[in-house]
Amino acid sequence: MEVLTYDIVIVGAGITGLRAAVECSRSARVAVISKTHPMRAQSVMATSINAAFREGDTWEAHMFDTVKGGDYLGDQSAVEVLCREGAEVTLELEKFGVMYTRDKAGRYADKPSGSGGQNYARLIFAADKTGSFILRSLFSQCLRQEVDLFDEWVVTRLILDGRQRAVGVTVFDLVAGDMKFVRGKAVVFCTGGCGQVYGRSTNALNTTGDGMVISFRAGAVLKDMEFIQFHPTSLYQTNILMSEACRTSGGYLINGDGERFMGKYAPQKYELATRDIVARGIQTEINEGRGIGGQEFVYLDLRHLGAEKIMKYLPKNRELAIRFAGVDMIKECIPIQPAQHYSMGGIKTDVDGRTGLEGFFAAGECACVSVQGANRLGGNSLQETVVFGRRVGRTALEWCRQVGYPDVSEGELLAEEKRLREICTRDNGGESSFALKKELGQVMIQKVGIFRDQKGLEEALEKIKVLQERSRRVGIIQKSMLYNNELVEILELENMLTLAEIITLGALRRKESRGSHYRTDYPDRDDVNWLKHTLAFSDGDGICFDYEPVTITRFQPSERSY
Amino acid sequence: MQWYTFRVQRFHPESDYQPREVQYEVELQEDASVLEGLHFIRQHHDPSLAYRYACRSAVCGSCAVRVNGEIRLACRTKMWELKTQIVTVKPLPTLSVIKDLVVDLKPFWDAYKKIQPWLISAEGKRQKEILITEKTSKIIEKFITCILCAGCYAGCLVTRRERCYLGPQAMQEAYRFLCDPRDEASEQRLKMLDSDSGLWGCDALFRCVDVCPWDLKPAESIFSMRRMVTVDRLKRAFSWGRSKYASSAQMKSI
Amino acid sequence: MISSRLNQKNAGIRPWVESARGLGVWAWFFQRVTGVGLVFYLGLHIFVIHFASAGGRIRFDEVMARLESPFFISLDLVLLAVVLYHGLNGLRIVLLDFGVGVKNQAALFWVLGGIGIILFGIGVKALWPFLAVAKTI
Repeated sequence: MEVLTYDIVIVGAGITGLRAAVECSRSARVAVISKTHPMRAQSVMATSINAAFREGDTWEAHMFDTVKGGDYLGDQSAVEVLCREGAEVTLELEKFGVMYTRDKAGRYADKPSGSGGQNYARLIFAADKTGSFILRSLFSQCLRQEVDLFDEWVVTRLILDGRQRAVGVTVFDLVAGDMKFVRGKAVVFCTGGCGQVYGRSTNALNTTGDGMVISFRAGAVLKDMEFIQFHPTSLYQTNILMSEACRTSGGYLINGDGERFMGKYAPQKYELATRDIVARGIQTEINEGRGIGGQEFVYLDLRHLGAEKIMKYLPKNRELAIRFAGVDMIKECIPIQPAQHYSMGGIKTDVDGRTGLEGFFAAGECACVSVQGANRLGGNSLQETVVFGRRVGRTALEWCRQVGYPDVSEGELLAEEKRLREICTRDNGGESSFALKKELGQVMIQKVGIFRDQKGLEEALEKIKVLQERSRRVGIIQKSMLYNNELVEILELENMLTLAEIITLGALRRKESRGSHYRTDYPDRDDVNWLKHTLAFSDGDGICFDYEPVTITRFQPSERSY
Repeated sequence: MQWYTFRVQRFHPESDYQPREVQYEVELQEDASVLEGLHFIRQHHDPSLAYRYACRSAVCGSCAVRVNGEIRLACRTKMWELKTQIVTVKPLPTLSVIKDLVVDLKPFWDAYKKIQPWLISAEGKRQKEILITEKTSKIIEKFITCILCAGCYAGCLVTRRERCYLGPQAMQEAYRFLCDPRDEASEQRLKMLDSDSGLWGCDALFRCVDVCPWDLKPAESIFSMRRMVTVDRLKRAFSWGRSKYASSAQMKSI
Repeated sequence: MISSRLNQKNAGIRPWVESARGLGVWAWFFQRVTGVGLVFYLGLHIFVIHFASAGGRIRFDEVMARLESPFFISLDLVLLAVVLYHGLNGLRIVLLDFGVGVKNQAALFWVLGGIGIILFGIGVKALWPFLAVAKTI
C-alpha cells in the first residue's frame, strides 16, 4: 500500500476544509482529500452568510437570535465565538477574492429582512451564489499556496495508534483503483452532512455522512444526531432547494384552501419564523389534507413581489424553478414541500475543533460544536464553516508543531485493504444498494422525519436492522477496483445505515420536543429533564448513549415563539 | 412514463481497447433528466456504469456529457427537450476517458491554475467593506455563475488541437480579475495571456458560447482582452509607448 | 495509472468532427477552404499569364476570346465569391479583435454576408457584358 506523509491531513474539500487548509498550509504540508473535486462540494449550494457588522446590529443580538432559534440547546460559549468572530471572518473572505453584492452606495447590499427567526437583516451575499463564490475563492487560494488536493479519493477508515491517537486515514483512490494510506500528525474532518439518509433531501447525492460514521467507528463521540433540519421550501418531487431568500424576500405560503396558513403557527413572523416551525406548519397542512388538491405539497407564492424584485433577489431560484418544476415564479406559484436540509449534530468538538481523540479534529457540518442547537438559522451554516474552519486550521497547526510523526502498525492498514478487496469479490446476493437506499430513505422520511413518535421510531429501528442485515448481501459486478463506483456505493450505504440507527435511537430516547426534533407523543419542551446534549459513541459493537449538560452563559431558556 | 433508448459509450481501460456503444431501454417521465436516465441504467441494467454527478440541480458542474452530440449538463437536460426517443450519451470530447463517461479534467484545472485565479493585491486587514460600485459587483457576479463544468474547454476545437491552449473558461476567469478593481495585476495578467496559447489561440469558433449551460459567453471575455491588447499596441506604435495595458482596462471605475 | 494509450481514445479526427458544429465552426472551416483555394488560384494565374502567350505578343482578340469562354466566366464568378468570403470573414476576425460585434457575432457574420452578396451582385453586373457575349456564342 502506498503511503503518503503530510503534516496535516484534511478530509473533505468544502468551504470548511479549504478554509482550514488556507489557514495552515503556509507553515505546514497539507493534503486535502475529498470524494469529489473541491468545486463540486455541497457548499456551492449556500446562498448567503450572516455577519453582524452593520450599524445597529451587534454580535450579542445575533447570538440571541441563534440561541433562541436553536431552542436553547446550543452551547452559548460556542455561539459567542461564532457571533463574535463571524463578521471579521466574513470580511476577510473578500481578501481571498469574494465580492459581495453592493448597493448603490457601494456598500454591502441588504436583504429585505433577516433569515427566518432573525430580528435584523444581517445577511450578506454575492447574488445567490455566495457559497459557490466563497468555495471558488478558497479553492484558488489553495492552488496559490500549493496545497495538495486529492479528489476522488474515498476515505474508508480513520487509523488510530495504540494510544488512541489519530495517525492518518486509509483511502480508496477511485481513479488509480488502489488503496493508499495518508499519514499525518493531525487529521481534520470537514466532511459535511448526511442528507441522503433521508429519501427527500436538498443535499447533493453524495452527501452520505461518511465522515461522521468513520470517526464514530474510530471512537469519536457523535452529539445531538437526532436533530435534523427540514427545509420548508424544496421543489415538489425533485426536492431541489428553493432557498430561504424566497421567504425573506416576502414570499407567502398558500395551502389547498387558498389560505396563507403560517399565521396559525407563527402569529407574529408568519413565513419568517424559523425553519423547523415553518416546515412543521407545511407538513401539518399536508397531513391534514390541506395540501394543494390534497397532494403532498403547498404553494409558495411570490407573484406579488413583481418581476423586478424577483430578478434582483432570486435569479437563480427562478431559473431552477423554471428548469426543474416548469413554473415561472413571476407568474405562477411554486409547488413546494419540506425536505431534509442540514444536520445540526455531528462529531463532538470544542470551539477549537478538538474531538477528544488525540490528533483528530473536526469542523463544519460534520462537527457539532453545538452552535446550531436544535435548529439552525439561515445563513449561519456558511458562517460556521468559515469561523470554525479557520479555528480548526489553527488548532491543527499548533498541534503539529508540538508532536512528531506517529508510528503506524502495518497490520491494521492491510486489514482495511483486505476488507475492501473482499467486498469487491462478493457475489450477487440478490440485493441492490439502490433498492436498500431507497427503502431507507422512505423509512427515515416517514418515521424519523418532521413528526416522530414512539411507535414509528421503533418500527423504523426494526426496519433499519433488517436493512443492515440485507446490506451484507449486496453484490458487486465489477471485480476490478479501478473507478469502482459500486464499491463506493456499498461503503456509503453501510455508513448511512449506521447513521440512520444512531439518529433513530437518539430520537427514540429524547422524550420531548425541541427545535427540529418533534415528538407527537411529547409535544412540549422539557427543560427540566432534557436540556442536555445527546452523546452517542461506539463500545466496539453497539451504540452507547450518554448525556451532557448545555452551557448557558448569557441567555436563560425561555419560551420560544415567533 | 415513456420508454427511451439510451446509447451509452462505455469504456473500461482494463478490458476495452476501443470505446463501445451499449444500448439500454430506459423508462422515464417526460420531464425527467438525462441524469435520471443514467441512474435508471445503473439501477436496472448495469450498476457498473460510471459517470460523475453530485448536486442534480445544475450548480455543481459535475455531470457535463455529450447528449445527442451536444455538450450539456446531464442533470439539466430534460427528456422532452431532446425531442427524440433515442438518446446517445458520450463523455466530453478532447479530454481523456478514465472510465465510461468519466473524463480526466486535469488539463482543464491546470489551465485554471495557470491564469492565477486569485486576487493579487497588497490589501491589509480591514474593519469595514471596501466601497465598490453596484455595476462592478454585477459584472463580477455574472462571471461567478460559471460552474466550471469544463464544457467549453472540451467543446473548444482549439484545445483539442493545441494541448497548451488555455481554453475559454480560464481566460474568462482571467478577465474576471481584470474587471475586479481590487486586483492590481492587470498588466501582468494581460502580458501572460498575450500569446498563442492564450488570447491569440482563439479561432473565433464561438463553440464556448454555444455550449455554456449558463449562457455565459467566454468568447466575449477573450475578445475584450484582445481589444485591450490590440488598442494598446496601436497606441504604442503611434505615440511611442505612452499608454500601458492598465489604462486600457477601462473597467477600473470605482 | 491511466496509460497514455487512453489519451488517444477520445482524441483523433472523429470526435473532432462530431463536436464541430455551429456557425463559428463553419465560418472558420470555409475560411480555410477558401484560403487554400486562393493559393491554388494564384499559382494557376501566374502559370496562365506566363505561358498563355508564350512565344508571341499578347493580342487583344485572343485575350477577349479567352475571357469570353464560359469556363473562364464561371471561374471568375467562383473567384469573386471566394475572395469576397475570405476577405469579409477576415475583416470579421479583425473587427472581433477590436471588440466590434463580439456580443452579436452571429449578426455580424450575416451583416457581412449581406454586404458580400451585394458586392457579388455588383461584380456580376461588371461581368455582365462578357456573360452576354458568352450567351450569344
